[in-house]
Amino acid sequence: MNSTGRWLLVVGVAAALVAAPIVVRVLPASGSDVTAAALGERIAASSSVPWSGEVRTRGTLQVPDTDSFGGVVDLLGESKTLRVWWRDATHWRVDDTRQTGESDLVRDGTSLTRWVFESGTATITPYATVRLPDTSDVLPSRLAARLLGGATTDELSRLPSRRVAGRSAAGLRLTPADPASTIDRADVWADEESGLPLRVEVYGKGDVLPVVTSALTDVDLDRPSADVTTFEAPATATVRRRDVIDVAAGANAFAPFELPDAVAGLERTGDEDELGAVGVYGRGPTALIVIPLRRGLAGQVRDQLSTVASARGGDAGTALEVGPLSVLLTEGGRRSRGTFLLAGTVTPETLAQASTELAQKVTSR
Amino acid sequence: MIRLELTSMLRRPRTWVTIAMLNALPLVVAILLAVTDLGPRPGTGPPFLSAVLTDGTLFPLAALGIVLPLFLPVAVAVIAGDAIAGEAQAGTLRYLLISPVGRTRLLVAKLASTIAFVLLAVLVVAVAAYVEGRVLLGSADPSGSVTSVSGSTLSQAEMIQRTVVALGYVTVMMLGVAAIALFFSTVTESGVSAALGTVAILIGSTVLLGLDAADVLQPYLPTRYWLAFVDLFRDPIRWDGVLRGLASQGAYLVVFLGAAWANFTTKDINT
Repeated sequence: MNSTGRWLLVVGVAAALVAAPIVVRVLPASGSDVTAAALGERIAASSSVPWSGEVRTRGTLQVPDTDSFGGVVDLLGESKTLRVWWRDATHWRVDDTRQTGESDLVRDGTSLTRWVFESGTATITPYATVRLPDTSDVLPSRLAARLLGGATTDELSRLPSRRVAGRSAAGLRLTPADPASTIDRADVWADEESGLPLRVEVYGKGDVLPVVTSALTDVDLDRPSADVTTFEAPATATVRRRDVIDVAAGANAFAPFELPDAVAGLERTGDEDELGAVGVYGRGPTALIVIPLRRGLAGQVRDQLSTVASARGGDAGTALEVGPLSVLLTEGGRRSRGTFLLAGTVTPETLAQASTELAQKVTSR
Repeated sequence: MIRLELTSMLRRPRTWVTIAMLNALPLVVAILLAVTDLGPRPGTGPPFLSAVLTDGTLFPLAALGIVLPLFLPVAVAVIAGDAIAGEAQAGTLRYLLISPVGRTRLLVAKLASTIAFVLLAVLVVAVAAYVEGRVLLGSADPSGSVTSVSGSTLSQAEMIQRTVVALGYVTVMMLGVAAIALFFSTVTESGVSAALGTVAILIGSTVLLGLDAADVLQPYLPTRYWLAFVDLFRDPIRWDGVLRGLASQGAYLVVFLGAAWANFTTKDINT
C-alpha cells in the first residue's frame, strides 16, 4: 500500500468513528397522530410509570446566591447530570452526580434522606410537598407535570416527534394564555408508548434559547428494585435528623401567618393538610410562591439582593428580575405583618399586586 | 523489540525522575490536609479529596484525581513525544532501522513502552498514596470497609476490586495521549515539539469541556471521560461513562496510531 492509500485508510476509519454516534442520534422518530389534548392526558396519566435513567439538566439563569437558597440557584443556573430510580411517587432516588462525588435524595415513603458524599453526611427529614425546589423537581416527568397542571386545551398544540434517549417522543407545546405569565412557551416530548415525559424545554418571553432544559439521555421503563431506593447510612456517616427539609418547609410549618386564598387573581394551590404559612399560587407556568422570612434570613437576602446591579428598591420592597423569574422581598417594617419573599414566573406588576394584597389580607395564627 | 524498549525505559533515569515528580504533588496535598484538616467544598477540588479527611485509605483515588488532569498526561506526552523524534534528534533512528526491524514494529514497541511507563507510574502513585493516606490521614473503619460515593458500604474485597479496575482504566485513558504524541513524534524531529503539540490538544479539549456551547463536540474530546473512574465507586456502578471512556480512547488509539503508521512507514529517514 502506498502513502496515499495508507492516509486514505486512516481518514476513512476516522470518519467512520466520528459518524457512528451521529447516525444513531439522527435516526428519524416515528410519526404520531395523537392530538395535543390526548397527548396532554397521556402525559398526566404517566405519573405512575416506573422508570430509571440518566437526566441532564441545564439552567441559564444567574440568580443571586444565598446560603439558604443555594440549591435553587444551582438548579436554575447550572448543568447537572442526575441518575434516577423511580419506583412510584413516594419511593424514588435522585443522585446529583459530580466528578468530585455526589449528592443524593432518597424518598422512602414519608421520609427523605439527603446524602452528601464529600461531607459524609446523611440528613433525614419528613418529606414535605411545600418546600424549595430540589433536583427531583427538575426531572422531565415532574417538570412537565407542574407545567401542564391546569393547562387548557387552547394552550396546547402539537410539535413534531423527535428521538430522545433512543426512543420516539411525541412533542407538545404549552403556550400560557395568562398575560401575567413571563413564560413564553414550554415544549415537552413524551414517550409515545408510556406518555412519560423525556424532554422539557422552558422559554421566557423573547428568549431564543430555553432558560431551563431537562432531558433524559438514557431510560429504562422497568420498575427499579426496592433496595436501590432505600438508604442505609454507613457506619462512618454523620447522620442528622431534622424536623423540616429547608427554610420554606420550616416557615410553612412554624411561621405564625394565615395566607389568603388568592392573590393578584391567582388561586392558592396545594394539599389541604399541608397548607401553612407558605403559599403557592397560580397554575402551570403562571405561578408564584410566598415565603415568610425570619428577620435574620430576611436581612441576609436583602443584603445579597442589594449587591445585584439590576435590583431596585420601591414602595413594595426590593425587586429583581432574572430572565422570566421575578423576585420581590417586602420591606417588613415595624408596622407590617412580617417580611415575605415572593418569587415566580409572573410579571413584576403581578408580584407587586400580590405583595399589596398580602399586606391587607395576611392574618396571624 | 518490545523487551528491548521496556528495558531501555526502565534504565533511563528520566523515567524514575518523572515518576518521583508525579508523586510530589499528592504528597504535598496529603501533608497539607493532615496539618490543616481543611478539605474542598462539595463540588470543588479533585475527586475523593474531601472524603480522605475521614478515610485516608481513599487517598490513592484522590492522588489519581490530582495527577490525572495534567501531570500524568504531560509526562506521557513527554515520553511518547520523544519516542521517535528523540531517536531522530539523537541521530540513532537511522541506525535503529538498519537492523532488521520493521517500522510498524518499532512504533508498536514504542507505544508498548509508553503504556508500561503509564502503568508503572499509576501503580507507584497509588501505592505511595496509600502509605501516605494511612500514615498521615488515618483509616476510618478498622474492618477495612469503605463508604461508596453513593453512601453504601463497600467491603474491603469490593474496594480492592474496584481500585484495580480504576487503575487499569486510568492507564487506558492515557492510550489516546500516547497515540497522539507518538503521531507528532513521527512528524517532527523534536521531542519537545511533539510533547507541546500533544499538550496543546489536551488543553484545548479541557477548555471546550467547560463550554456549554461546545456540547455537541464534548463526546469526541480526548479528556471527556478521564475522571469517569469515579463512577466505579458509585452504587450501582455507573458503567456508561466508563465504557464510553474506553471506546473513546480506543478510537483515538486507532486513528492516531494509524496516522503515525501512515506517516512513519513512508517517511524518508535521514538522521
